[in-house]
Amino acid sequence: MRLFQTVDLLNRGMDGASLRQRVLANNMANVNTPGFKRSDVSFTSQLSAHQEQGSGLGLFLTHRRHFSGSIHRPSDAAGFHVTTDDATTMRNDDNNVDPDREMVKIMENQLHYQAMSELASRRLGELRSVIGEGR
Amino acid sequence: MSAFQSFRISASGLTAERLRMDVISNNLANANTTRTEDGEPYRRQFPVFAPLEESAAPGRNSQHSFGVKAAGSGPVGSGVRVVGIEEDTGPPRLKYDPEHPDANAEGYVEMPNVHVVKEMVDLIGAARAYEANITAINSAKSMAQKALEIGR
Amino acid sequence: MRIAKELPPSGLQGSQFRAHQIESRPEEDFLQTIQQYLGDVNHMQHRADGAAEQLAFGEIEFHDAMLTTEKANLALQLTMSVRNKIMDAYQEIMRMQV
Repeated sequence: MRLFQTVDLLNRGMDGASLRQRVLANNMANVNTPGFKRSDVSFTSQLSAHQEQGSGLGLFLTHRRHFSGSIHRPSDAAGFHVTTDDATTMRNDDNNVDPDREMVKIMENQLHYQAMSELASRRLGELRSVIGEGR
Repeated sequence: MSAFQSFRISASGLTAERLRMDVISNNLANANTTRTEDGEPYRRQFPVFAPLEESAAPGRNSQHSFGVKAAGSGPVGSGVRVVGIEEDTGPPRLKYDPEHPDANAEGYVEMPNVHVVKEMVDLIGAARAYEANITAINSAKSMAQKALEIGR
Repeated sequence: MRIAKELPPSGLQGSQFRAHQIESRPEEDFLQTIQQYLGDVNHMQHRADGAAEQLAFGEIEFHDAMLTTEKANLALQLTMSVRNKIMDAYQEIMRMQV
């Protein structure tokens, strides 16, 4: 229903933020695991998915069946890529998780999610007002 | 995808770090144990961690699958697990103390290969990692509570 | 309700008959549109039920469950509003002195 276009978009955004929360929590849980490499989720707009962009981790996907330098796993629709950062090392045991940076990202992501949730809620509230004709 | 997956992941981190702290505490408690049950001096122990891979949970047959949205993103790790607790096979420290009942012929006592300062540093690291996992849990909780406010 | 397209009403011929045929189509489209719309609203109700079920089993994200439920609720309210308007319009028409 086109009525819910914005809400659906925000829903998709929240899917991405939930996924990111999970990935970051996994990074955090493995902060002391030898050889573990952190992952993250990148949000791509529909537009940038069709552009050639350089990213620090390797080739950018222009089609979801392309393979690239790092481990890109495209979602079933354009939007979220779970990428693993194989290129860096923080410690002797080859783990590259920086707990402070992870914590900041977790907080950023939380705010992002909460913002989208608030917007979706307000939009639905507006629609409710319109449908109920303000009564 | 389940809403609770994130909590389980962070919980696995909490368990792992707590175990690490227990192991370190045991090392510190036995820093001067020159004779264990097998007659040898105590050997330093350390936990071995490995990432926990996502196990395919048996899904129920539901007409409307909401989890599909994240499915295409590939396996997301499920946290951390403790593979086992290993012994540090490094050589024992030698302390010169001829009066000691466990002294050898040259008057040296084999002390446990526990270095107290290193253990304390590891302990702090484990405590910090524990707190970091708590932060992740609190974030996930705030997000969930916010989502529940939709439509209020 | 279908208007019989095949037989022209007595008196109409040629292009008038064709015009009559064309006029009957918008009503079909309208009906189909309404049916599709109601089907969508019904489908949304089913999705909301499915979301509740998955929530009970802990298999769904909270935002998915909340949004699906709210959307289904709003769609239903909209349908009720439109229905009420149609009823009001109908009754207004029925009240007209002819």
